[in-house]
Amino acid sequence: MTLEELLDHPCAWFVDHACGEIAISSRIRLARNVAGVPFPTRASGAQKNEIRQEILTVLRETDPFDSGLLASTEEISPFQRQLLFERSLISREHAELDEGGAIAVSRDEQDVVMVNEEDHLRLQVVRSGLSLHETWEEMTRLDDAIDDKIDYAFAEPYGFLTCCPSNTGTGMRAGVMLHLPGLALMEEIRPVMRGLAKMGLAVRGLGGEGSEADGFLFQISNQITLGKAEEDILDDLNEIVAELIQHEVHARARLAENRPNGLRDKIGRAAGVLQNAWELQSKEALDLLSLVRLGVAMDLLKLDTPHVIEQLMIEVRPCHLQKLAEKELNPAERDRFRAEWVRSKLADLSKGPKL
Amino acid sequence: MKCEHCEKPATVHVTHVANGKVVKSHLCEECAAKHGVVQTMGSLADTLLGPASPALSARTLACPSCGLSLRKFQKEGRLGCSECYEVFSREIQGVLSSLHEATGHIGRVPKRHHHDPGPDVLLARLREQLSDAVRSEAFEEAARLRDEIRELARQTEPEEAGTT
Repeated sequence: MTLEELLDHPCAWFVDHACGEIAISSRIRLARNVAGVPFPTRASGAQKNEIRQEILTVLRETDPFDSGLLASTEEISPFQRQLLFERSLISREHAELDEGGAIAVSRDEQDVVMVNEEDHLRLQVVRSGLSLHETWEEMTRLDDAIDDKIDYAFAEPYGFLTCCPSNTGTGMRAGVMLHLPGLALMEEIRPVMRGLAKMGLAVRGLGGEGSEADGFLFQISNQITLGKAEEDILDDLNEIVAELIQHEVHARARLAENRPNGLRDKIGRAAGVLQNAWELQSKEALDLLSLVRLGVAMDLLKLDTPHVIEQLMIEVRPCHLQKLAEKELNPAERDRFRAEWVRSKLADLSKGPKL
Repeated sequence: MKCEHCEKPATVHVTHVANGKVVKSHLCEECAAKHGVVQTMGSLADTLLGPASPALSARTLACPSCGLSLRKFQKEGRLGCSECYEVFSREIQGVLSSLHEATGHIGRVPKRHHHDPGPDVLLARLREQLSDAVRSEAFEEAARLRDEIRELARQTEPEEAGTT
């Protein structure tokens, strides 16, 4: 599989399966290092190269990467790396790395390995919806397959040794991406976020660490990686997220009951702007698409083609937009092209039975 | 654990770097004093009068394997290699307990790792299993775990067990 083929794919786990659901995706990441070699932050160029070759050789024969894409950083242009970042396939740090790294991506984009990010290996498995246990099952299969061929850095009493002590132990970060416009519109999102932080969970926006929650999309993930077994961490996270989804369902119901006109107004305006605007900024587009997604879920709006909203949520981002335009665009040109693209895709958006 | 120089219990544990290698010493207090090894918290005078022992020269400590200095680790919070975990063990344990409220791993282990978690880790794990069993009212399981904990605790303190 070539990089071009991969980038022409529309990010299936996000687009096809997450239609209208509150829980968009479940993601698990494991940090692993190769025993006896300094972590990438302290390794020499030659050491990084050697470890990269070793890892790529193993991954080339490991399902599902044997039919996927394997490429070193130098083979991918900075623009293409930004595209991968916009799809959440690699981290911002890895996208900005100019040499010494590599990536492996499965054909369906659900399994990814980042090589020589902060750690030698960052394994990532993602599945649509709230499916942490299914995701974990695939992750353990992948982790075992690599463990068969690569000697991991591990020591008692610490567990898996990682560059940052915040990952030491299991090396595992598990997160669920949630669409929470109901809680946001009911102005209940802040107390909920504070509560989650108290329970030791991190809340982040779409773009990972330090990013804002554009489009009412939130990633809830564990912070603790030491002293608690992986399955227990996942059970706890699963329980809290399931509860949060119920809160969102209730918030939507209260919104419809207590503020029916305010809700109709917000969603009607969002649809109106997206169908008629001639200039749209990235954040504005994402926020409005998010309201339209809520409108469709609540039968206030109707869309004949499924998945359009989810697909647009990826396409309106700067690099994806330029890929669609097949040329480089400056910010002002992007805003115009974004508006044009969204208008053309939302032509059949109409009033739903409840508007 | 016994002192390396005599038969008394070792209470002073020092990790230092000699000839580019990480060396761990386990000493009793007397031998530690004799060899000029004082734990950082041990002596106010040493702290005030400047570095007089390996433990106190920690500020200039660097990992012999990757060259990361303790100062850099403390500033940036990133480790350089597996060996750093040994060299900076005291500092790392502090960081880990403040980040995770734990210092020992529970969970997956690589296949090739010869798993010898040591009695402390094992006991902590069993105790956690015991409290889970009690919580879920699995009393038979709880009784079995309780006996296992007693047995293990007896084995790890042979001297006391012998006198009772």
